[in-house]
Amino acid sequence: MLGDNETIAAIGTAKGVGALGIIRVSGLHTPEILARCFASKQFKVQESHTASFGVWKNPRTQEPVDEVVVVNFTQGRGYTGEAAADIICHGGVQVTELVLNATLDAGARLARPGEFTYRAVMNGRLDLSQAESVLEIISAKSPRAAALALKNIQGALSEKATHIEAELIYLLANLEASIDFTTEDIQPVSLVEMNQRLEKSLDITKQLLKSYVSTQVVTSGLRMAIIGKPNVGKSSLMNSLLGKKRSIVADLPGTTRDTIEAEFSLDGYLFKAIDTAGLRQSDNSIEKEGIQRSLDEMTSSDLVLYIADATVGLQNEDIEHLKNIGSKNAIICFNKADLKGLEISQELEKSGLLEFPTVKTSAVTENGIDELKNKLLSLIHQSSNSEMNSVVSTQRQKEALEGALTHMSKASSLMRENASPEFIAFELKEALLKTQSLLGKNVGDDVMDQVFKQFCIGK
Amino acid sequence: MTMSSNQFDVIVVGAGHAGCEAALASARLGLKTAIITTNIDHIAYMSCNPAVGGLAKGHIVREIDALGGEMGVNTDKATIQFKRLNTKKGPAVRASRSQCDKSLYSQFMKDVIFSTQNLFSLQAEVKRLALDGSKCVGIITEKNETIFAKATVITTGTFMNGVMHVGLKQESGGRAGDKASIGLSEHLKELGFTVTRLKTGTPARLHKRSIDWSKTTPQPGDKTFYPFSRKTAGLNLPQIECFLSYTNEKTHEIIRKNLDRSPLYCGLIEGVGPRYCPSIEDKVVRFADKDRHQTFLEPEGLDSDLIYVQGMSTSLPVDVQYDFLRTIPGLENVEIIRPGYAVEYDFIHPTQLQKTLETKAIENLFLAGQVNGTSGYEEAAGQGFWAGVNAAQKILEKESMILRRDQAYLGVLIDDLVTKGTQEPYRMFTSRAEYRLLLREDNTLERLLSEGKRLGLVSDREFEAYEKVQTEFDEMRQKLKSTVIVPNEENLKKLDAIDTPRIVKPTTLEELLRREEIVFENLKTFDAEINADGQVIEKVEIAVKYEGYIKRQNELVEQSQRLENFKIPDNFNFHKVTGFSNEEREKLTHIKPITVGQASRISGVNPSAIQALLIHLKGKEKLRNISSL
Repeated sequence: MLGDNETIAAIGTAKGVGALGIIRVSGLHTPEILARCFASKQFKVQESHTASFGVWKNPRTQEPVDEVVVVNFTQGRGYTGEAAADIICHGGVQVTELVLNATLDAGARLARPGEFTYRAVMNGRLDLSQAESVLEIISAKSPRAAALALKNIQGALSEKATHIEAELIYLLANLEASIDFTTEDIQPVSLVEMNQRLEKSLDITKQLLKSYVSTQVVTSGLRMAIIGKPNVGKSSLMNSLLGKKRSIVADLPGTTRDTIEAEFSLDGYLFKAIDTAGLRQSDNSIEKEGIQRSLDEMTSSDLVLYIADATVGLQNEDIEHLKNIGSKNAIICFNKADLKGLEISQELEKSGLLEFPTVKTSAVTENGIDELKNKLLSLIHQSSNSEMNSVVSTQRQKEALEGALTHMSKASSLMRENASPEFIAFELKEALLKTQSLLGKNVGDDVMDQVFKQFCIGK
Repeated sequence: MTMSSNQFDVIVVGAGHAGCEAALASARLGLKTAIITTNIDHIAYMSCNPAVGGLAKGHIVREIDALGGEMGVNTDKATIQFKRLNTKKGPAVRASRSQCDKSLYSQFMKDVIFSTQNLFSLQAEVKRLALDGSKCVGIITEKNETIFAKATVITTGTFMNGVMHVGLKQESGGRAGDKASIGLSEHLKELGFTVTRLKTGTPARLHKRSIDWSKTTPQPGDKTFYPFSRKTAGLNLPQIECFLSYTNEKTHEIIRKNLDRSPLYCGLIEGVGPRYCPSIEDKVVRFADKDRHQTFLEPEGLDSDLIYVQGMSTSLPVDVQYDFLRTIPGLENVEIIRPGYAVEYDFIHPTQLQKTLETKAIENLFLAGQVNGTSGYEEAAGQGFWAGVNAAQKILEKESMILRRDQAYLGVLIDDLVTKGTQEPYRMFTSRAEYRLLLREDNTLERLLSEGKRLGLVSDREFEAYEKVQTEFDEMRQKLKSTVIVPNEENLKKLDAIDTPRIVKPTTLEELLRREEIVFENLKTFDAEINADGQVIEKVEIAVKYEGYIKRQNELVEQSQRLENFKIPDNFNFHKVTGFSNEEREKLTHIKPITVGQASRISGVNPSAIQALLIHLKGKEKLRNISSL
């Protein structure tokens, strides 16, 4: 992306039919463009944060394009930090394109992906983690993901990272004083005391990282593998679970095992159900191979929903599979419970699987579906913090934090070993750099480009 | 060659620590050099503490020596007490420090100056520069005599418009006993240079017969001498003791009561002083909760009657100095031979200099030393050497000497000065070096001896001597890597004897040495041939024990090279780039960094500005590539 003096414009709203469309303009020449395109009785270009009604015309042909409301931002007041305007016009592909073209004819150029937010960062309106959160909000697939992203825009992560940064600087200052002023009669803080402070920062960092695991769940969804032999009623159970919100997201052909992924949301959390088609084949060697493949699939899942036939109970193979899976992130679902009453506890005891969460369902009568949903939710709540602490949401942030954690841990063990201060300082300096990269204070150019490439046009 | 001709290759103005290094470097490179001083009896005079070295400063002295400069040798010759600091800590923080005989230090340097070929000494005062347009062609003395040179190096230290303060009395002077330099600073200002004031101070000098030594604690030096110079065989002079004492509440009371008579606290001194070398008034005011401050009583020389009171720098009136000194144990009846005083002086903002220390505005004019806003003999000498070499190289049309931040503390020093400038007297600290782990005393020759050879200041013979040591080192490392000990009865017993855990599989001697509790000596029990001389032993231990850290630091150097190698075109117009704040644009335009790496170090220039710059430069690059297809 080139930094330049040009004024940019792009359609801000998603393509398709909708009541309204927005064309966003930002840059030095915005006032001129408005002068050439916008005819309005009330509009005053020097007043910021105003909404004015008028007509948008094409400056070449002087033809009116649409009736619009223009929201005006003067230099330093808007999203990008530049003079800017949002032109709210009627929705639909045709009109928005016409308004955009008029704007381009007036002297703007088409913005590149992410360029508005890029300028916001360049002008100091957003730091990098806030900018990333803009991306997250835009692509949020669930309400909780959006809320999380919003918290970051409001600086939740920046606050914690800034605190850690200050602590690291304090520790470094003390270490450096003990090195460079070794002949002076000063009493720097002892290593023991320094380690105590460092451990506090370590704890905060660990908490933040834990929150990433749970926010992953929130932002990209919990992967749930649905395992079960053919004819246990997986499809109908999936339908009940997905309900009206069912949307088939991916159909991956081309391999001997077709998997179907379907997304559904529960209480604001996103779930991705993966039906392992291997088990849809029938019989013997093929089936065994299929089961093996689906067991492999399970290692990449966050959760396994094992469906058994309530009329048949758990068989040896089921028991074996379940023991391999382990009870930590699995639920056994006895389906077709309408057809037979089954003593679950007896069944589990017999198989040695008492620790597994279980539920009886009948996809046909929809009995037990709510209970199943509750069990799914409680599994999520168990493995994550309360969202109050969830602030880390991207891979980049996670890696920066992990880096800071590694170096802080090394520094801590060096302190306990009474190592020479130059090595402790080395690790702390590295931790500091990682923390600062989290805040976008010293990020390399390639990372910046990466982040902004992901933005689609107009943001 | 006679002095009657007034045409030289290089003129060095000032014969302090910077001036001497500059003049010697230039003369040794074959150029006809003049060194001009206001006082021929005060060559290489130590204005303050008669000591050289310490953390980071000692490293600089070694670097000067490795490159072919003089300070290392001169210090060793004049050493009367030596200490190695932080010996129990890691290799990057070990440093050497020498207490010197002040008059012998000066005498030895004078002898070298007077006996060096191509080097001519003159006592005169330089009033103005001689210019031809925007080129400096020489200097004009107080007798209105013009002396011409192809390059001029100014090393006037604290002398430009120097004003000394004792209490509320002021006196013109660059230093006690030396007159100030008046006129040169005005000329520089006329030429458009930004000149501001700094302040430094020095403690009183006491008569040694008036001190009750029994009330102080003797501090002897180390038994083992680590010379600064590779050329030094051993100590030259008898070694002495220094003596430790402390102030107390009574001392602090007196100082506090008399602050209204302190020129600093009365606002008479406008220059900024160094925060890390505070006067005793500063210490008492800023660290009010400390009930005592230490002071070292240091003899100024073997035959000298003067005792230097370290840590008691002051500009309070003489009677107050008597009063507070006499509260210190041992000093109850002290006689002051020369009171402590502060000196204010003009300095040139070093951001006005290029990386060679040549000024950006006036061609062939170089500035080095305290006049650039630094403090310390070592920092001055380093710059003097740097400027002298580069002035010579320019005249000889050879490649300049510009050391990198990962190569030498000198590299850090010059880069900090010309890129960031300074608001207070700049002193080198190890914490200023982001690659501290690579800039150690023990690897100075590896880093710089070949550069000294390239310049022509280090002889082939000297280089061969070093190569011999290197070869020994390489061979020893190989030996350690390839000698394997097996876990048999005999070896296990040996391991027990040196108090280290037993091995369970065949282990190389190098792996053993990596253990924290093992030293090189221990390895002898496994192989009698494992023997080397002290220097090699230290090198091997460091290389093996800190291999991991050294490797990681080298990786970081590589990573940052990308930005260091990203050159900014000459005369680049920073106004073309969007994304700079006004302050950033101003700074970039003023300092004119030559690489993106250097730009990133300018204070006030934020990472987002660097991003904008990179993107702009890369974009231009892409366009250039496309258009060249």
